[in-house]
Amino acid sequence: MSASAWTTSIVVALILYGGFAWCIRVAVRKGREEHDKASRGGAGTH
Amino acid sequence: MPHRERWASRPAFIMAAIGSAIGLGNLWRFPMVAYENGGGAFLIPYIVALITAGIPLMILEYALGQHFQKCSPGSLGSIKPGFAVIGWWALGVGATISFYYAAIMGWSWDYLVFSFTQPWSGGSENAAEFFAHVLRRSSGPGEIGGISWPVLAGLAVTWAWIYWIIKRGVLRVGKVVMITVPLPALLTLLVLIRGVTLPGAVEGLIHYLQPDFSAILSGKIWLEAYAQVFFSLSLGFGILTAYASYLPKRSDISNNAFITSFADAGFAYFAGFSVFSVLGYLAQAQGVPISEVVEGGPGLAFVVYPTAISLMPGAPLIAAAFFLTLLTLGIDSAFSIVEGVVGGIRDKWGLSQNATAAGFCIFGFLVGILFTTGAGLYWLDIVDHWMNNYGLVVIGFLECIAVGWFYGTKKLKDYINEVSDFQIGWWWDLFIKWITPLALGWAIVANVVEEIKVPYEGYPTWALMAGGWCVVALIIVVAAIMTAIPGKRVEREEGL
Repeated sequence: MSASAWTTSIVVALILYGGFAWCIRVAVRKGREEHDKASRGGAGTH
Repeated sequence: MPHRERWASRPAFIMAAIGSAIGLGNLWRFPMVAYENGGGAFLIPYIVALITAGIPLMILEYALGQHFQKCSPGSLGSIKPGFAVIGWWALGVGATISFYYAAIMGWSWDYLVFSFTQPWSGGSENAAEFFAHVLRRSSGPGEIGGISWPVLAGLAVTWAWIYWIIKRGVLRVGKVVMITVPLPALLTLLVLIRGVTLPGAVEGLIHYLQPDFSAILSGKIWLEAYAQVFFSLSLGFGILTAYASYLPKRSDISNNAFITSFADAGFAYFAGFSVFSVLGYLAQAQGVPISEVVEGGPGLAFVVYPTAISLMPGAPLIAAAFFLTLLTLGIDSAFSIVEGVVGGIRDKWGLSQNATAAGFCIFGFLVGILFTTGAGLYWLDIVDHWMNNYGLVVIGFLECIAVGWFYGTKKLKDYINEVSDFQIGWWWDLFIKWITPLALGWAIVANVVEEIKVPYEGYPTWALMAGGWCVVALIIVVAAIMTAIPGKRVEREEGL
């Protein structure tokens, strides 16, 4: 495969899978925060 | 407000939304569109379209359902009572798509059973003949022919499956998607691993990924990219609005939309590797260029793939894995479309989920019988073309106008930012008010011009009128009637 094919493929994979992983990470972190808040007696909303 | 059922958890909602978005098109449409539009270069307009139209519109559809706690007609009707017609139109288009989508799944059931005997083996011509034989395909849309009993049986099984999943509402949907979403991804991975280990696979991948950057200058590639993003993300069906309406009002919106969109696009990209490795192998095995074996849509799934698989060692198992992939990919999309329609009807008249689901599934099965006849494939092709180009795209355009110019993007954005994991900025207003409707409006005009210049696939004009424009007109009339007739008391008091 040519260098341009490799570059395009890798950049696209980074955007799609990297973006997905980053969003999941944010969701998990927020979920944990909500859970901690709820277990301390606050009202979780998510 | 009466009690509204809820998703068991946020992951259940996200999985259901991803399952709805990832469907047959990710496997048989995206790789072909990419191949025909500049290969790897297509991925650039595709990602631009995802960011400028797909994700903003998905945020909008999620926000409408979650904010108003109603399915598509109720949510849009809350902006302005007359806008409920857009929601009913969306559900009408979704219902129509479900009628033939279930028939395609019926073919997949039949092929899953045939996997163990491989009756299509012996080359592409045999596989094409066998497909025509299973469908009892007639000479054209005017010759209805007889019913294909295996396809009818597959259709019945599909509708029974859909009913079983949605009859208990989103709680059961949330459990089912924990299996039906990861399973096709794993099976596709299995086929990919088998595919890339075969001779000729690398040649296939080169054809998929080799970029032709000159193609980016063509307007067609951008039109194809916006169309692909729009069809793939389940936008314009009212599904996402219905699903989001079962979330509590304080749930995240923007991050859920990004997760769903990235998962859908990521799967399509990944599926392309699986498809083109197998096509590369087939081309090498038959001693022909890749361009001679490349085909999209049902031809890829029911002719090209079976031919390639029949040449592989362990063919029955690989074929079974492939058709199980089609079924599990299709079922999430199918029941999500049906749930969107059932939810809209149930919201309007306060009917029970079970009764509404049963009534719609029986109706869907009866209408779907048309697609099990000898002319079924022709009618499916015509109806599908019109629903995609003049149903979903027009609805997306109207949703942007309703929110962007009547409800106000700022008001909805403030709500989204109040509840979401991360904030959306000025760009969302810009896309919803200007960029997305302009892109969709451009797609609509370009499609109409193309339609006038060349009749779709050379079908006779009467067939295009009956299966295309008349179906679109019928859906609009039904949507107007559904908007005009009064619903249950609560809804009337809310002015919908």
